[in-house]
Amino acid sequence: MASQSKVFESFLTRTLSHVNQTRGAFIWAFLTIGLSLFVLTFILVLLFHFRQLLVEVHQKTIATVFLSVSNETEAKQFEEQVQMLSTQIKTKLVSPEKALQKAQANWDEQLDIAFHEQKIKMPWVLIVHSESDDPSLSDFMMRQLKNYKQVEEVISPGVAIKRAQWTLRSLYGLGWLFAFLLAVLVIVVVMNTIRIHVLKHLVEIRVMRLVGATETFVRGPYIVEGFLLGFFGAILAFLLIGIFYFCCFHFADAVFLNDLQWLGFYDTPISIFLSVLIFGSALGAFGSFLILLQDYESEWRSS
Amino acid sequence: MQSTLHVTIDERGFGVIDFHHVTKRYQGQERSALDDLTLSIQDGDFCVLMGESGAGKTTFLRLLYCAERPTYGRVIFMNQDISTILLREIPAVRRNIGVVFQDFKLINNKTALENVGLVLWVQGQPANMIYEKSLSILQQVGLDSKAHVPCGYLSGGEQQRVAIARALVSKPRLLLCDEPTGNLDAKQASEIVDLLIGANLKGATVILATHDPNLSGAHRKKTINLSKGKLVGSASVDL
Repeated sequence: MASQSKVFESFLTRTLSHVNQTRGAFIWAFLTIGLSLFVLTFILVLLFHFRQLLVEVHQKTIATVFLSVSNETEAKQFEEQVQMLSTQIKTKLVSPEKALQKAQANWDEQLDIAFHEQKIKMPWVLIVHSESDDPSLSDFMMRQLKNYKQVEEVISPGVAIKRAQWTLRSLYGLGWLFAFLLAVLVIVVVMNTIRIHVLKHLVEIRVMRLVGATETFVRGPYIVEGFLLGFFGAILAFLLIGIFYFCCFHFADAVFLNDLQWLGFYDTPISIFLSVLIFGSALGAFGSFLILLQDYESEWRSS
Repeated sequence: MQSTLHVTIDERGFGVIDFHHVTKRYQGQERSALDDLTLSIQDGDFCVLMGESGAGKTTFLRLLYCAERPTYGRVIFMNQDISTILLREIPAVRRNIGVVFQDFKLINNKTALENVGLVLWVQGQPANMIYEKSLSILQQVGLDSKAHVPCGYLSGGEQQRVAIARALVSKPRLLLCDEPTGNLDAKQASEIVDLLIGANLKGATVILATHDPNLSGAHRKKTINLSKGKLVGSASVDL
């Protein structure tokens, strides 16, 4: 009986009815949002791997410290002092014998003979690693280590690591900027799509407001529509990402992309994809909300 | 000024609607659409709002269904000051008001039943109730046979009857009619006014804005004359 009349539709049915009435615009928006979220997801995957790299670079050796100590006790005392400087470092003490073994692995015969002839004694060596991704820790440690009288020389990878860090940080920042722009693009596409739908139903919206419909009732289906656009756009993005990786790492195995295996898809945490799904849906709903908010006052007044 | 019928409306005390020194001035307009208007309309009144085009009749009605706010003064409806009402509170006020327009304001691609049912639907009533009440009110305005016809296919008179059915279906306290017969011939106009009188007899307060003196003269119970936004006369008669 009541089902004879479409006016009594639920939110979801109303939303689907709106979508059906403006299929063209919806499909266009869906594809655009899907592509945008695909690029966004890809950027997030890249950012994740950049982040990993950045941490790895930071965690490389901060410094190799050559000590002027005469025995193991003094060396261990110095190691303890260094460990007191920061909780975010790890140290490794290398005895002269081990230092010699390591050094000899890279020596040629002539160097070996020269070493024995001159009876050079290897020092105790303290290797300092960082457990933090804070680049200022490296500078701090270098400054502190140079102040100890037991320290003969401090060697740091310094410049090269800083350059790598700067490059990675720049790429990281650039990635976030692109991600932000894509998020704005998604909002704009959703806003335009919903605007088309709102204009198509303007009379209906005005009549609804006139007869006492609340804003939740009026806006609900449009916000659901924006949410669905974002949600299915994110699903499309995942499909595209999957296809992209499959093509790159299976069919294009022999080409340069093989060298980019570190940008692995399968070891990317699921949280990134979940975030895109939630974020995409939220962006869709937010875009709808914005467009309905834009002329809320004037719409209400003109009813 | 209709001197023979003139009474001071305020003499009857506070009513369902009270205007206190209401002035409405639109941006960029030199003259106020309504100028220091003070009046009271009682519950159950059939009130005819008279005046030439631009007299302020539509503004008067728009203030009542919260489509405008007064520039100065207060508008009280059912003991609530609706001149300072919050936007989110407007739907609750509008659910007590039925509005009929000259241009009907129906959704043309929806059926008469759907247009009428819309009012109950936005109020969250169950679907079977909506269907029954909508059909019942369409019967009362003589349109039950066309309940499932899209409004775009109905004649002007029929569309206006659907609009009246829509305005009455939720049994509002107040029925506002803005030139409801403006697009209709004399016979249709008479039928529409009969429907409005019927609604009034069932308890709704009716405010009918018109510039047609014949229409207002035949059915008025109370008349408010506006000219250039000012109250130039008001009268009450017992029919």
